[in-house]
Amino acid sequence: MTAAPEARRAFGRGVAGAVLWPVLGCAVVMAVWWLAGWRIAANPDTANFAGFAPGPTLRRLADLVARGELWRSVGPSLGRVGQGMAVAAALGVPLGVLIGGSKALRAATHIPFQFLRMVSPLAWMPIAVLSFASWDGAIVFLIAVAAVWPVTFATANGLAKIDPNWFKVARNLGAGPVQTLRVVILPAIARDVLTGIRLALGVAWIVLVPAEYLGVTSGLGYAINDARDTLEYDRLAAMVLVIGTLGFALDGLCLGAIRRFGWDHER
Amino acid sequence: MPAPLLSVQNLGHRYRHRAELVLRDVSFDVGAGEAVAVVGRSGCGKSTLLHLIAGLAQPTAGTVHIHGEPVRKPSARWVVMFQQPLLYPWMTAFENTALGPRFAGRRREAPKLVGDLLALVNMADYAGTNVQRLSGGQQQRIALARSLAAQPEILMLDEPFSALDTFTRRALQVEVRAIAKRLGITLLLVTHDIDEAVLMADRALVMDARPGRIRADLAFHHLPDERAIDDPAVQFERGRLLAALGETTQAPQPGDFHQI
Ligand SMILES: Nc1ncnc2c1ncn2[C@@H]1O[C@H](COP(=O)(O)OP(=O)(O)O)[C@@H](O)[C@H]1O
Ligand SMILES: [Mg+2]
Repeated sequence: MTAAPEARRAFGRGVAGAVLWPVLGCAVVMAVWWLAGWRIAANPDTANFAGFAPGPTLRRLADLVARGELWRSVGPSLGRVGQGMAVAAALGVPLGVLIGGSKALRAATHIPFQFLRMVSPLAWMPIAVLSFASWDGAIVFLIAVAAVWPVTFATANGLAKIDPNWFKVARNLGAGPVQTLRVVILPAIARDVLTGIRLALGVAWIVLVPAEYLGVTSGLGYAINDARDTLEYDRLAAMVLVIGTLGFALDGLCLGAIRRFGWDHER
Repeated sequence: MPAPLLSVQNLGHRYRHRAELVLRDVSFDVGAGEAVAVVGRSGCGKSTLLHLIAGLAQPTAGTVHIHGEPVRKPSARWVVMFQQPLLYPWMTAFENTALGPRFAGRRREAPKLVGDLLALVNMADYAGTNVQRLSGGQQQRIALARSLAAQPEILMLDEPFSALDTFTRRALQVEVRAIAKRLGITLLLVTHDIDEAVLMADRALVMDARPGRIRADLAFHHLPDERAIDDPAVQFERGRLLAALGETTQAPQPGDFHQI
């Protein structure tokens, strides 16, 4: 079979792309981390920070998992991000549908919304603290403020690019406005909305940690701050590892949803 | 005389204020169960006319009445099958076809009705297939099934088969006429294809361009209900229609009509 070596090579390229290079990349990062940890431990001036090295970090991580302490940090953080994202979606999707559906509204809201979008969510911190009775409320507010814009803009974008013929067909077959929304608009923009939510979640996850430096006594941000104050650098590094891993996993979930609910890939 | 099912009176249209008059003083009646073709060259305003009649756009002059009621908005009682299939790409063939019953709140009737219609258009095997995987001709068959599933009294066709190969086109032209006659659906067809008109209609209205107007009304009295293009009677009526078209103000240009 003359095709066999070619097929084997193609298969080889597939394995290299899917496994080999990612593994190699992670290995390089681990090596740099290990080397840096070794240098820090070797230098008497920085030896206090030896906990940052992979060994102590991973040992501490296993310990945090075993004692259930990790979940006590992760649970509240996920709860806050979930609530903030829910608020952002509940506001952003309808707002995006309205803006995408009306040229006038789009023109009227463009400058104010671009302005608000450019203000760092953390700049609202004093206002959030003043206007919410609980720290939790303030943090959810900050996450929602950060997340609402990507959702709104992506939804509006999706709506604006719907083929007008699709509305014509729906009216032609006797659809009312609510039916048009459910049967045509929402499926048509599902992919755009989920892409917006994915972007929003990325921002929300970044805002989460500094927001949790606020008064609360739980969550990943609090854990980082606390570890710094108690000089437990291995715990600090373990928390950073957890934050990155969870963010990566959440992004993967969004990507899965986009693949599942997007329809263009069928083409 | 009973009131006509569809009555178009002095219809006129411009797309924008003071823009070119696309339609001028178009008037005609269509009786229940009749099959009428409006024939004219590209750009003479056929699609515009159909959109106005269906209530998908508002005319700048004149009126459209169906059952004596003025048409103000679209309704599932009269359905347009467009030039392109315009299926929803995230849905299967079945889901697309079932939209009419779904919008009418008759979801429970849908499986049987849609199943029968998909069989009628020879697409029963593709019920669960995403429509993006279908060919153009298959998609247009689904569009036909979707139009019929809304169970309209009037089916309005806007050059529905022009994108299909000759073989499929011929088959569908004959089939759609037969289906409409069997189900008692009134057909209003606009086309630039004279063969399509003689294969599908009981009567042809010849349309002028710029502005679009009806200039002749030809009844095909001598044609059988079941048509075939090589039938001498069909060829005879085709000749009459061609002659009537030849008298339109502008001479036909190459490519204006199929099969000339
Ligand atoms: N949406 C529109 N806006 C402006 N002009 C249009 C529009 N649709 C069609 N027209 C014009 O109206 C005339 C008739 O078009 P149409 O009804 O599509 O003709 P036909 O279907 O007979 O080919 C053409 O001159 C076309 O350019
Ligand atoms: Mg047209």
